[in-house]
Amino acid sequence: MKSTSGIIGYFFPLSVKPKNQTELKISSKLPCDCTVEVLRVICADIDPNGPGEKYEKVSWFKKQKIKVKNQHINLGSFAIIDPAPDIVDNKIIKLQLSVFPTMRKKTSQVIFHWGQFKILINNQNKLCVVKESDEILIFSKIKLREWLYLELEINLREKQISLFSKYLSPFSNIDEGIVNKIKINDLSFPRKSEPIIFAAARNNHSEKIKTEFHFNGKIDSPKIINENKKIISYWDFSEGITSNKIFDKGTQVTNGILHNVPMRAATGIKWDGSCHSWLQDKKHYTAIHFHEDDITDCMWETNIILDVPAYAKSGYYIARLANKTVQSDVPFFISVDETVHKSDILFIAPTATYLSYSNTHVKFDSHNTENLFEAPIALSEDELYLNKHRELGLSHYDTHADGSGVVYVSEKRPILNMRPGLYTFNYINDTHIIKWLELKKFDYDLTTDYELHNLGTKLLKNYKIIITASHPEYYSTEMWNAIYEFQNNGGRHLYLGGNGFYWKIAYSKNFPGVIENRRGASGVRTWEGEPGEHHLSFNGELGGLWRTNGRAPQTLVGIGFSATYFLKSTYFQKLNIKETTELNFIFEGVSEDTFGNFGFRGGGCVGLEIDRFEHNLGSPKNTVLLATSVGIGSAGLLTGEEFITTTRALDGSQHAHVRADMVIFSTSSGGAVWSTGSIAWATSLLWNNCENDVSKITENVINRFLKPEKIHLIDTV
Amino acid sequence: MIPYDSNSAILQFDGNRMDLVIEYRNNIRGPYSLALQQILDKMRTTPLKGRFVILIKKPFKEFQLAQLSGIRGRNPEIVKGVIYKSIAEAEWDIFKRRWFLLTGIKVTVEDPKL
Repeated sequence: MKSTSGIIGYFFPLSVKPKNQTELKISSKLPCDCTVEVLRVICADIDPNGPGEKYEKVSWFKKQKIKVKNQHINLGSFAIIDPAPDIVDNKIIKLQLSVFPTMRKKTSQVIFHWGQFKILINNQNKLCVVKESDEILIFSKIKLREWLYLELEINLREKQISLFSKYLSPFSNIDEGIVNKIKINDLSFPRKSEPIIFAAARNNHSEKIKTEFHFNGKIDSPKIINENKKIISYWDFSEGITSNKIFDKGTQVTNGILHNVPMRAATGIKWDGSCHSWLQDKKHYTAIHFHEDDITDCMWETNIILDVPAYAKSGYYIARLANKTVQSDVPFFISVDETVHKSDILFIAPTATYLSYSNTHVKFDSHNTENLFEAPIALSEDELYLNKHRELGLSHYDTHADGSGVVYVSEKRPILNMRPGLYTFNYINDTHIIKWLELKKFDYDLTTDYELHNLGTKLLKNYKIIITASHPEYYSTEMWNAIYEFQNNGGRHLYLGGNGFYWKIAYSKNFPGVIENRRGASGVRTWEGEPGEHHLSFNGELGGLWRTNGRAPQTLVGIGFSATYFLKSTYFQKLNIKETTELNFIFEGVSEDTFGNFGFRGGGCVGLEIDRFEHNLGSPKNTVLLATSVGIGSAGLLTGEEFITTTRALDGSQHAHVRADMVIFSTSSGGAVWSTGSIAWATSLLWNNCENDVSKITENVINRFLKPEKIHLIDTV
Repeated sequence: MIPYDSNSAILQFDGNRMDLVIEYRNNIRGPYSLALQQILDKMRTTPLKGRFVILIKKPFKEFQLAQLSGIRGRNPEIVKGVIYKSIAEAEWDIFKRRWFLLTGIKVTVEDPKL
């Protein structure tokens, strides 16, 4: 058996269009050779009892052998100011800042590093001033999650260094603050050429920065002032929140750069609960939250530049890296060129969802994972590798080492659960649809969430049908609006999954390859966002659920998330639509009243995560309920936003809302939306070599949706 | 922010209820009676440190029992010599082990035919 993690890599960009390039970056702990082959993925499910994995060789890339070396990852976020301000004309300078430590550690955490000086929390969790490598001033142990004001004075006149510290909380028992001082004979200021680092120590002086001893917590309003209290530098973190820059409002304007995207739009020392958006009042958001395990760009050297030819078929692709001991796949997507589309059908690969789940560690870190999945956890080689190699970064489901939630995830790092293998959720399940489209000989183009976000209706307007996949869970406003507009302009939409259009995310031109998600105070989530920090830093919008943003998924696709249902899967029962002759095409050739009691996930087409229709949440008034699930029982668990008061009756044996609904509705311009209500729908398509009712119904809908005749459904409520 | 409480599962149950063990053995993927469901909920929310997991040694062919370290970044510790040929076999064995650990009473019912 070959290793799947012995060589790892990533493409940037992840989504590439024909006539463009994407770069493959590879690393191996030990130097080695490997072959690189590019394959189009038709089905990534490697289960021998599954639907059959399938790949297609491409003519435009010749298999080649390359040498692979180890590539370093500089994990952890920090700010760098280079050059630093020039302070040589002064005799006394003071650095003022506030910190909010969020973690105790057995190694140092450096808050501020400039030349020979550091302010840090030492390995005994005591606040210290360090000169060279000597702890010259030592304070008591830090308190967690309390604001601490610090003032470091370097006094050349007195040949003295002092640090004043004071907790800002009115409940602190040390309300007067503490000053420690030390005389030093050979005292000098740091030079302008020595960069200032916040939240880490720099451990090299080469062009590619290496840092260590990262600080976990927030830093607020660092300032450098002179003895006349004149501000030399004042880095106001509430400026430029959407960027990776920090702006100096002092006289020398020494702006800085943030690395690995620490969390901005973080509540600061002035946040008092009266304001919840940084757009509303910036002064509440003067902090940045740094983490030792932030990573948004591995910055690896490129091994291969891939030129994607104009004729390349859009689709899921991998570079397969192989040698005697390793076979490891690196995913990328070729997205259709919107100016030369070829088909009537567009499949949207939910790459935002793949990124949100990328490299998840919940099986190791999250207390409730086994309970959610209702079975003991099984761990693959890739998952064990990810657990040990935290430098590959976290998912939106993870918490940082300090317990705070992960809000940014990036494609610029190896992602081991978005490729053929054993992690079937999302990526692999979606390739069941791809294989089905190919077997059924439907001509289709493929795009990604990234392109949908950027191109919007410019992309969609070319198509009669769009297909959203088994789990299009994470949507930006631009993506949502594009689909809404497409439907209202006569487009037809097949939503073949569940738990779709659930969380609101943001992309940013300032951070290519990164998406942001804030967990609000509602929804099925593995951590809860902090009060005051529910607004996205990339664009200022309120994050969290689309439902709490006033756009429940029902308003877009007729149904919305109702329950998790991981134990096993069940099936659908047709509802009485005999009078609606216009919809008879849906069940043509499906004679039984129930259907879908089969599939590759839990043995049914209703499973994993399911959606229900609800007029009160915005299902269009002409929505027709075509089928509903049968027999979910106690294994189906109602999502939190579906109940308000405490009650015991929340599982599928007691609560009617624990169900999957299949619906269809039309729009006035002839558009239509057909939603299946279950992730396991997609993983039932290929059952029995596509000879099944799930496949038949889906085929019926596509064939009808391709016809230009309007579908006109009247309001029923 | 409230982190998970490792000791939140407080249910106590009667380890002599072999009828519930038989119910699980005969229908590992449920649905379960309320009494069995509550026991499974308890088993699945025991502290992360020491929680049984299944390592996939050879995909779809060979599995190994291990216990989570409970320490971020540290991999599970292997329970030596416990190898399974299927996930179902592993799940049944883990259930029996947990039953004993939580009640002090050994499962005496026959193994299922897997």
